Amino acid sequence: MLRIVHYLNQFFGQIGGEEKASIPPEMKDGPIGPGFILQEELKGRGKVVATIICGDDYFCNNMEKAIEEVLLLIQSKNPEVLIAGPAFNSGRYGIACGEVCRRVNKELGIPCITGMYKENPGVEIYRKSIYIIETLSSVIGMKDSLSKMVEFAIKLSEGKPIGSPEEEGYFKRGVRKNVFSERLASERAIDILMAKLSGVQFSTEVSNSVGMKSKPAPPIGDLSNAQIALVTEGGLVPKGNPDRIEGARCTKFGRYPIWGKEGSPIGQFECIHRGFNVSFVNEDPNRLLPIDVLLDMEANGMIRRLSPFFYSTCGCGTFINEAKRIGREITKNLKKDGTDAVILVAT
Amino acid sequence: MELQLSYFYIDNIKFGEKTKIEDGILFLNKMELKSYLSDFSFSDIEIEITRPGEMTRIINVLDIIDSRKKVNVGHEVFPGWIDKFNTVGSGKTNILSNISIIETGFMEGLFGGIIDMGGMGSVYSPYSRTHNIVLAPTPSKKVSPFQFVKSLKLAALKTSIYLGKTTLSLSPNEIFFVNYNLGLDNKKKAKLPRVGYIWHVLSHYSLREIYYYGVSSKDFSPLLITPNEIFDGAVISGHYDHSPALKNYTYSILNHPIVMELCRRDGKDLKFGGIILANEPPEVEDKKGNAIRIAQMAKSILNLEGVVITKEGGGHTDFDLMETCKKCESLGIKTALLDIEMLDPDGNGEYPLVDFTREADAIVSLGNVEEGVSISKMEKIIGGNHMKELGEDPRSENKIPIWLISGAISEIGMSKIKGEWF
Amino acid sequence: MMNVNRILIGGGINHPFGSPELTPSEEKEFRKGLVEKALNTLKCNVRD
Repeated sequence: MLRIVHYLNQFFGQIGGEEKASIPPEMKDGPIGPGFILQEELKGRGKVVATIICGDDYFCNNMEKAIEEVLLLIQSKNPEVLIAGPAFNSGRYGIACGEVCRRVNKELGIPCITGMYKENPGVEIYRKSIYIIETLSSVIGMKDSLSKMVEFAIKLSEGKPIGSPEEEGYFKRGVRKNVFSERLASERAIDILMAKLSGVQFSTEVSNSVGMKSKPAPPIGDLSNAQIALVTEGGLVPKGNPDRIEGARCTKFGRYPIWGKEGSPIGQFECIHRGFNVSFVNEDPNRLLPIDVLLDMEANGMIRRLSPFFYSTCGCGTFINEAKRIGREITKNLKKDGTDAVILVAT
Repeated sequence: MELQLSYFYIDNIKFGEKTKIEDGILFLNKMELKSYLSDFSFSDIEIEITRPGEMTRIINVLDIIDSRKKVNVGHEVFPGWIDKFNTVGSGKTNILSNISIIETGFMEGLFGGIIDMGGMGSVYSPYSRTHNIVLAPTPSKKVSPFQFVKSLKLAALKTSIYLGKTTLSLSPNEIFFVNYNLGLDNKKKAKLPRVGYIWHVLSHYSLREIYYYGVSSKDFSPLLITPNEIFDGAVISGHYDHSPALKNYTYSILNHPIVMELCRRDGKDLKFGGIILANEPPEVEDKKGNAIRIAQMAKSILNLEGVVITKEGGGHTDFDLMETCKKCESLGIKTALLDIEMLDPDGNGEYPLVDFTREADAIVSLGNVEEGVSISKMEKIIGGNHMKELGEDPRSENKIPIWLISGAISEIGMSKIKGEWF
Repeated sequence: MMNVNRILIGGGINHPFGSPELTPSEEKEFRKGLVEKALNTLKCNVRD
């Protein structure tokens, strides 16, 4: 009977939403929330002996402290496997799950498994050091991903050989392994050449990855002559969200007048981002867009001008292609505005 | 130029009173062969037989060849080595299938590989599946490595022809016709794409060289050669000081998988338009110059539309491979490459290829040469009693990089091992 | 993975240009320091 500890964030751990994202780690006996589905999927082969719940903000903002606390809690239960999440497309949750798995594996020698959606930033950061099962982007994929995670966890605990990413459903870890092809390399080479010659689609078996690089824009020579604009994915919009910008999986952006020195932005703007605790920014939007400071700098000549418009979108589970498109459109606008440089504020 | 290759299937090899083939078994008169192979470079020569499945490890493997014999003509295979120089590549050539002759030797300055006939390590090399005659000479006192390897090569080639004689009164099991012509003067509008092969061979220094009609690749410039000459042994490996994975054994050259496949498909879905045998100069500027000349030959002389390109060697020669690819593509010739991957034993490392160019968009992987594989404990060792890569007891169970297994990795594609993302 | 050419660490996920545990005037000073850093980064050359 496999002893399993389950790691969850404040939301799935049924403590609360964003307002509870700063809670420190705590442990409860048995399964909580999705842990019950996990228990079902185990089909008698294991038991969720405890659940660890930690706020995503607490974890990400105090990572070293948080991980130590989490490790101690896990150690006290002596599990054979740790299952974290799944985190789907939640970035901070993904990072927490990834870090917990990585450290539990490294420092406690306990096999771990987590699950994430392909665009979760945790995937890129952790895919090489731990196994991450690929999930759908939302809780619709809960049962299916937990089922895969359970099967994988059992294989790990039994020391059975792990199959290919396609077979097992985990993200490629960026390692190359030798396999036996059905055909000689000589035949494959002539085939791929013939495909190339006849215009049929082909794919290379190996290449060096050329990472997506953006060419750096040349530096600003003279700040006092520059117009600086603020762009954010923090989801700050005029109160009432007139453009109906989505708080998650966003497909739009807005262009809004900055607040001046006289008018207070409080109460005039709101933060609709679904991915972080917006209360601080709502208290004082300058904490997201440092307009007060930049206006001072405009007044004393440090910069020529702060663009009278800021651009706002919401970077919460945004699909990459949407983000690319939004970025291109904002850039077009920035050029029309005569902006020379941008401070892009991310949360 | 027409050549008939006749294959004789061999099911087993045994020592016997007379060297002959009977009911698919090759009998070998050991004393007769030993006497024939005596050479002042050897103080002694051991001849052993090993078969697939036996728990035997062949060590210090330097080269591997098969057995061939010209039929009814005034000259012999391996021109310039046994017999006088002569044109080869026409008439009939007999080949013993499923056997190989293995050159082994242990000396300062030589670099060998291993072949396990059984156990975990026997799944990687094609030579674990052939019946093998192993030549294990002991170098004479004071003989230089250069003289020793020349004698060893001669011994292997002599053995090849000696065994080939056993086929002369028999009927072959299989025949393959090579009817090679460049097809350049085809007056009808060519319907089939003209596909050729660019074969880079290592040419850095002595004991790391290929021979063409006995001339070392150190003295090469890019050459036009025919499949017929390859099948009749005009190209021989002279790699005695080179990693097993980064050179091509003579066996794989004689049975060149790319050339054979292009011959098979010639006239069917492609027109086999020629082979360029090219050296790999050690200096960058020369590599670039070579690439230009090779591309020029491929385009202006052979009129090729597509080429398969291989290299021979390690990371250094990735540059030759990529440079030739770039130049061919720039002249409108489409390319497909075969390349090894050089990562760590666990497959980590972002750059499997040492050099790379954007134009190389069709590369067949030959596997990560550094990947660790397990080999079993063996009962018997042939080819010496020591090899530094195997530690104190060469028979022991071990984990070794796959490059050490002769034939597991083949830069001309005679292997099914490839790399994939995990 | 995209690589960003000019990047700075801010005051926290929930308040990139804020530090709520400070007094309002201290916080504004903190913000000023960050903005200066950001502007100076815009003046930097990025080596490949």
